[in-house]
Amino acid sequence: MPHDGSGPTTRANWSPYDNNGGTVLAVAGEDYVVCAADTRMSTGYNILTRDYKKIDQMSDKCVLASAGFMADAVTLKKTLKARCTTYEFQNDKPMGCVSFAQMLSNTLYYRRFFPYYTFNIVAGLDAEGKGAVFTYDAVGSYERTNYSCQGSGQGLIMPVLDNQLKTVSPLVLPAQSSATPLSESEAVDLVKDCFATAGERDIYTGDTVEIWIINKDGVRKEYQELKLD
Amino acid sequence: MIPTRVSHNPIIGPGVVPFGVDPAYDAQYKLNQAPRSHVASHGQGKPFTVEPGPHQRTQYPYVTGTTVLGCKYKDGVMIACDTLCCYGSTKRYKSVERIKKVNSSTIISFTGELSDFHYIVSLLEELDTTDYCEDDGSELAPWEIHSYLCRVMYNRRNKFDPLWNSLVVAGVKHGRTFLGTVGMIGQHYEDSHLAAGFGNHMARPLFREKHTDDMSEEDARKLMEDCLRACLMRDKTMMNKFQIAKVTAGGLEISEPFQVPMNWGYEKFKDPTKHAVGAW
Amino acid sequence: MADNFLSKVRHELRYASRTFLLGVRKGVFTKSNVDAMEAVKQGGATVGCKSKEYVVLATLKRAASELSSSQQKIFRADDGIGVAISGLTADGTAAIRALRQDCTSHSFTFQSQVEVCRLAGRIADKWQVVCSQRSGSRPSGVGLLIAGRDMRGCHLYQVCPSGNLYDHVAAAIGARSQASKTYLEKFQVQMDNFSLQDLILLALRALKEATSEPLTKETCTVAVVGVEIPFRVLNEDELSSPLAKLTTDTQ
Repeated sequence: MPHDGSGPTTRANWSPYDNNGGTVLAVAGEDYVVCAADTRMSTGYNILTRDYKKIDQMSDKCVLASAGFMADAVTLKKTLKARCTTYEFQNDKPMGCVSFAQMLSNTLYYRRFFPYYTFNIVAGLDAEGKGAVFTYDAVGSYERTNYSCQGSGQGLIMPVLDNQLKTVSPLVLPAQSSATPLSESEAVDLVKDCFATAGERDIYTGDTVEIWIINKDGVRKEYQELKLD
Repeated sequence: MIPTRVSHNPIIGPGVVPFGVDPAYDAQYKLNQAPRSHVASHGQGKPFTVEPGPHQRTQYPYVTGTTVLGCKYKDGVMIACDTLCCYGSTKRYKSVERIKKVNSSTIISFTGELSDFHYIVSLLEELDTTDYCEDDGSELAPWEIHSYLCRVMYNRRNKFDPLWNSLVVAGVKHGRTFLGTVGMIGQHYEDSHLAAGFGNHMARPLFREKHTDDMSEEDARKLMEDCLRACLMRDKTMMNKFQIAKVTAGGLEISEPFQVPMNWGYEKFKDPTKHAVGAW
Repeated sequence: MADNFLSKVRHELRYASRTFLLGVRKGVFTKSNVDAMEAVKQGGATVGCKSKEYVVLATLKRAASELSSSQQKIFRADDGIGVAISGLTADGTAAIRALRQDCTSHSFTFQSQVEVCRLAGRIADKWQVVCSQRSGSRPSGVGLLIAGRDMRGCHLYQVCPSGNLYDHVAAAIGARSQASKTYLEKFQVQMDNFSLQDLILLALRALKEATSEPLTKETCTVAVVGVEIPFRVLNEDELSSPLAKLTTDTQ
C-alpha cells in the first residue's frame, strides 16, 4: 500500500466532528421556564442509543441543553460545571443564570477556531425570578429571548413557536414584558406538541422527550414518549 | 498534589502533559521542540518519552480488529468478539486476545488499531498499578474507567492525533452493572446492549428484537452467538474463532476461544443467480 | 556533578542550623514540625465522630475581637466531603483550596467523587514531602478533620501538619481537645449505631468538654454528611434543638 498519497484513496479517513442530532427547546414564562430535549443519539442513519440525556443542571436555577456533537457537548458541560463549582466555592453562592449565559458565550468563543460543534440553549430563572432563555450559535454569539429551539428539529419547531408565542415588538412603548403569556401547564403542552411534530418528520428526533420545568419551587422533570422509528 | 511521574496523574491529565508539571519532560520537550511520539512509561519513571524525528500522526489504521458486541443480562454483563486482527484485508493475526481484564471488576475490548489499543491498555495498567500501590482495597469502577477513556480519546482527537479505536467497557461493581462504549473522537454512550464496528449494522437489530435486561445467562449467550453468526456471515474481516467474557458480582471470566456452528451449504447459496435473475 | 551535590548538601545543612535558631515556640514562621503541631493545638477545638451511616463535625467559633466576626472553620469540598480545620486559618484555606481542586479535577476525569481515603492521603503526602522536607517551605500550621462518604461508607480522617494521617471513629483536635477525646472514648462502641440526632448531640457534648463557655448558636458550627445525605452545615434552626438538649444536661 503506497503511503505517499499517490495510490487509490480508499483507506479509512476521519473527521474530528460528527453530528449526533437531537433537538433542544426552551420556553420562558413570567415566573417559570420550560426546557426540553429528546434523548436520541444518532450517527448517520444509525441510532446509537435511545437514552442520551441532553439537558444538565449547571447551577441552582440554570440548565444547559446541547444538541450537535455529543463529545463536544459533554466536555463543554463538564468544563462549565467545574467552573460553576469553583464559582460557588469562591463566592459562597451558586452562579446566576445570566452570568452563566455570559460564561458559556466566552467559553464557546475561546474555541473560535476549533469550535465546539454544539447547539446550545440555556434556560433558567434570572435574579428577579423571571424565566430566561439564552440561545447560541457554535462560536458564542448569543441573545436573551423568551423561546428558542436548536438542533436537528429546529426548522420544524421554530415556525410553530413563532406562531404560538408571538413576541411583543421591541418598538412598542412603554416596553412590555416579552415573556410568553402562557401558563406553565399550557407551555408544557405546547412543548409536547412541538416534539410530537418534529418526531414525526425528523429522523434524528425521537424515543423520549425529557422536559425540565424550573419555577420558584425548584426543578421538576416530566417525560413524554415519542415514536421509536 | 505531588505529580507522580506517570501519564495518568490527575494533575497531568489523561494523555496530556502540560508545561511545568514534570521538569524532565519539559527539558526533553525543549530539546525536541514538540513531542514526536508519546510512549507510556511502563513504570520507567517518566510520564512519556519524547523522541526526536519527524512529527507523525495516525492517518489511517494498519492492523485492525472488527466487531465487538456487548449486552447486559440478569446477573451481569458479557462482551464477545473474534480473535482476528487484519492487516488491510489480510487475515494477519489469528489468535489475538482482544478482550483484556482491567481490574477485578472491569473488562475492555476494542475495534480498530491494535497498537493504539496496546497503548490504551498500558495507560490502564498504570492506573491499576496505582490502585495496587495505594493498598487500600479500592479500585476504579467500570464507569470511572469508561469516563477516563472518554477523556483520553477526546484529548487525542483534539490534538488531531486520534487513537484509532472504538472501545467497549463492561463491568459490575457496587451492585451496578455497566456497559459503555467510546469512539475515536470521544463520542460515547451507555446502553443495555451495544456493538462497536460493523456489528452496529448487523447485530444491534437482533439485540433490539430479542434482548431484555433480565434474560438468563444461557439466553444471553445464545443471543450473543446468533449475533456473532450474523456478523460473521457478512463481515469478511471476521473469523469463526470467538471469545466471550462475562462479569458478574462474583468476578470475571474470559472464555477459551470457541467456534459457532456455521452452515454455508444452504440450497440458495449454491447457485445464487438462479433465484435472483439479473441481480448480478 | 559531585561538586553540585556537595554544595546542595551544605546549603541544606546551613538552612537546618538556621531553622534551629528560628524555631521559637508559638512562632508561626518556623521550619519545625513540632511547632506546626503546636499551632494546631492553639486553634479552637474541632470534634468529629461517625456512625455507620453518618459523620458529624463540630467546631468552636472564636471571634478575634469583639468587633470582628468569627472565621469560618468548616468547609465543603465536594457533595459528600467536608473539612474542619484547627490552627492557622490562612493555612487552612490554602489546604481547602487544594482539596477542592483535587475533588473537581477527579470528577472531571472520572465522573465520580474521589475516594475519601485517597483525598486525605494525597494532602498528607503533600504536607509530608513538600511542606516538611524541602527548603524554602514551612509546615502547614493547621490540622484537618476530613469527613466524607463514598461507595465504601462513611469516613473520618485526621491530617496532621507532619503528614501523619489517621482513620478515626471519633477525633478531636485543637485547644483542650484532650478533654473531648476522653469524653468520646466512652462511646467508642455504641457510636456505630447512633442516629443522626444522637451523633450531633454526642459531637456537641464532646465539644462542650473543650470549653468553659456555654455553647450557643454563635459559638459553634455543626456539619453533617451521610450515606444518604450530602455534606452540609446545619443552620441555626437545626442547631437549636440539640443545643437545648445540651443545656438540660448541665442542669
